[in-house]
Amino acid sequence: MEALDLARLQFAVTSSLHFMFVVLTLGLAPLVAIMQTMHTVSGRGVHERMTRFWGQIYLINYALGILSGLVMEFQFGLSWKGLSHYAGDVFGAPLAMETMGAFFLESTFLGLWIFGWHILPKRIHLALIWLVALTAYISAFWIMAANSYLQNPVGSREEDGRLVLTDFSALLTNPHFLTSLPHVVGAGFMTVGFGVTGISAYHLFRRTRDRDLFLRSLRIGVVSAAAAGLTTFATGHLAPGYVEETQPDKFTGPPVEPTMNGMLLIGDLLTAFAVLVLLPMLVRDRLARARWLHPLLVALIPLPYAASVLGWVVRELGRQPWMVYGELTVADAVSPVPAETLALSLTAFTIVVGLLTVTDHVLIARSAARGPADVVLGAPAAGAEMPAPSPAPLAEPSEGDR
Amino acid sequence: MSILWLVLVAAVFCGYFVLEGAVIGLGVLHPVLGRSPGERARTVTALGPLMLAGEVWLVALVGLLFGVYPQVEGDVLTGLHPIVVALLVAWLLRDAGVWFRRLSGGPRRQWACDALITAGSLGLALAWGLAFARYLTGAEGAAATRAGAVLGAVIAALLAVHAAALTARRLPRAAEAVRRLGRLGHPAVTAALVTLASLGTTGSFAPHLLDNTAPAATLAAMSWVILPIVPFVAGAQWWAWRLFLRPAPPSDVPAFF
Repeated sequence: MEALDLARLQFAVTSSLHFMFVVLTLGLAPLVAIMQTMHTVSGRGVHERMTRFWGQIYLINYALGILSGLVMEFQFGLSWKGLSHYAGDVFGAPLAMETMGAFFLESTFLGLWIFGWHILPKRIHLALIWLVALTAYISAFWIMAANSYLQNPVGSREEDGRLVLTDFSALLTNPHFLTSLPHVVGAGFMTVGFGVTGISAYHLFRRTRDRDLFLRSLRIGVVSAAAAGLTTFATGHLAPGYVEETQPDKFTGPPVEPTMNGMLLIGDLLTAFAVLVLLPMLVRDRLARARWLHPLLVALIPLPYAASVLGWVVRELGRQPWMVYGELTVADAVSPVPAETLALSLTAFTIVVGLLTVTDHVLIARSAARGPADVVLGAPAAGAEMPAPSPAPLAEPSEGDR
Repeated sequence: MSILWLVLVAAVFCGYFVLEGAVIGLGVLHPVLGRSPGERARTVTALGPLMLAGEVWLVALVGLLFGVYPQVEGDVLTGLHPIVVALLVAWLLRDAGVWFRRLSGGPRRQWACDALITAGSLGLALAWGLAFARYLTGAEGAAATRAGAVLGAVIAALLAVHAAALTARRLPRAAEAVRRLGRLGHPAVTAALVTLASLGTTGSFAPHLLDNTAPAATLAAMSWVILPIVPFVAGAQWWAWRLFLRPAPPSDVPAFF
């Protein structure tokens, strides 16, 4: 393979893996924040157990979201030097805004949320998870704005062989951006909706002790899946209109067409199933009692992931052979490094990120299957298993730390 | 305006080495600080919260470079291709060791995670050594690799001392190490050393960076979005580091890692 093919394959592999973790984060962060809010308001134990159980799954998922995201960020400079040289003056700005203006805060707040449990006052601790969710959404906002610029380069013009920014607001009113952002958010809630529904069904089927927790979670999961399914459907079916105008051949050609049909089939069937079957069955907990249906709900968990990754592949493949549509081809953007160097990085990232992805999903599955009794996140005394000379009381002084 | 952005980039560069440097140093010291399973758990409990607040500085640095100095970002990452790949692999393995340690169960898997933490941290220090050797001496080939390996060892040692100084109030073995090292082992001294080294590096780059600053329109857009957020980032970071470096045993911090 030539350097260009290797660089493209590396981007395809790492961005598909990264996107799987992103969609779950986008859906689960607000749901965990809502659960913790319910706990703060009601003070009920079941809401706390929900927050910790789903919060732990969120965090294990988040680990690989960060790790695969690191590869994504460095990859632009590593493999696509031509992009930073030709379009960096425009494309770099939203990426800088994402890292400095969103992810920096998200990572810091997340650390405070995980390790501030029982140390920080309850309301401040609650505010932290909302800030984590908010900054995750600001991140998605800038990343989708940057990607949409590659799809439809607005607000810039060529000057001395480089693109320069002429109107930043055009990047934020780009039609490729305005519908793709809610579409991705919908995909996130759909993935999480079916995930929460499937895991809850697993525990109801197994008659796990904490039935109350999974009854409530099942309702949250089904409502998310149904609402998100409709959002994804609506925003997805709006797209062809403006895409036709700016990228005429996007949805034609052998690799894109079947991929898109796969996404549509999964998405539409799952939406119909969530809205027409699962949602009505929430009445009088019929779904919770329909044990015959529970194994199917578990089996459906991977499908929204598949649809999300297929959708991302359509978006990126349909842009080919352009890196910046109509302005810069991928062949001109690839870094001038030997094919062996790119083969090495492709191998290294595929093995490392691949193995970590498998490990992460095994840990998510195990954490989900073990149920709420075995959650580490927010467990009271960390010092219990350590030979601490003077175990500190739970409400250790936090004066000055707020 | 371009000076202001240079100062911000330099500050983030220094912040990375002073803060994340301590986390890398803790990883290097991990086998020394944690000789029993209990002590190792204690070290990772101290390291974990710092890692989330530390590594993000390099993410921010690369993002800033892309926005403010896109030409330089492409040149540096492509120019150092294999070294940056090694840095990323080491980074991923170190983080995986920390994230998965407690959740992975059994003592053998925990041992494997401990090994990943130390090997990944050493790999990070070595990759920085190789990168600096290439850029500062301009040498290539075997000579640069030798110089880089030596520089990497120096970085690992400096960060280890810095980490011990910063966490001496929390980890008994770190306190012991700092007592032996004497005056060098004060957090202010080690932080100053790391800052000076980082500032020296940015300083040598400064003219090249200034020549390649993004156009005024790009800087203006970023100024509107990023500059108002900088005080919040600084505040959140200050809060996190203060909370997790309190002179209290790490056993009062909820363990997730």
